[in-house]
Amino acid sequence: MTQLSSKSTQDIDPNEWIDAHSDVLYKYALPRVQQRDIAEDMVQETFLAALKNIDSFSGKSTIQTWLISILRHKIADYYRKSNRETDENIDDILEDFQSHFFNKKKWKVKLSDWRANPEELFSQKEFMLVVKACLKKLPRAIASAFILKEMSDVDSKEICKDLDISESNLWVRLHRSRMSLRQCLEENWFSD
Amino acid sequence: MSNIFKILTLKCKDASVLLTRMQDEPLSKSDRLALKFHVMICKPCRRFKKQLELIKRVMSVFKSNLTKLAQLTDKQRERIRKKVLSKL
Ligand SMILES: [Zn+2]
Repeated sequence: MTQLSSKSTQDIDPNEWIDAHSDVLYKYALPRVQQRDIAEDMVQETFLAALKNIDSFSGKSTIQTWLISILRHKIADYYRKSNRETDENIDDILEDFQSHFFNKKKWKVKLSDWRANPEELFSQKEFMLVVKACLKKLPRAIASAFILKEMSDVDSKEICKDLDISESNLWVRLHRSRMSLRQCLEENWFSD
Repeated sequence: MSNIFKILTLKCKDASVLLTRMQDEPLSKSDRLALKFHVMICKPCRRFKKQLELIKRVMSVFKSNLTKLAQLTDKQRERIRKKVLSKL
């Protein structure tokens, strides 16, 4: 019981923790939730949960690693709440979605030639704003998978676990996100 | 036999699914072959593939921008501190 690693609440100064770790936690959260106020809430809740459960800190990892793992779970909870589509009928969902883009298995939407120099394109503020707006337009439930996939280094299996969905559900969500994002960019930037 | 069948029967609708999947994980050999062949003969899918690659790149730019910009302000930090301390 009296291992060096186990700390009691009295040994901890919350202020010190906040000074030492809030930046790192915020940097972790923001790309994954995309909104400053939500990232801030996540960081705050992480500190609270950690300080209240300090006994469960095993001392096997650093405090920071431990905090980040708590934060990761908070982010997963946040996304799970917005996740109403279950694994059932995932094939039907895909089929229905595809019908907006294909006619008898051929493309029915316009795909123009995005002749662009990526570096030049990405340095244009207006373009990046369009991308941002298009990302915002994605339904939250499917966008969460895409954002987590693209904004974190977590692998697919972990994302499925975090979102509590099957792998085929994840693939369908990623497909829908990319298709919708493409369509939005086509309409709002690339076609004249 | 089934590989050749796949190559001959793959259509844009299913090719699009394979092309998005390919962004995240390696495809099976037969899917890869069928897709390679389809993309060779299909202009819209060729464009789609390039567009997906651009989207992948723009997302990584986004990621690095957000990470760089993810600077907690003093005001935010104090807000966090106040909430944490009040709820402990
Ligand atoms: Zn095609």
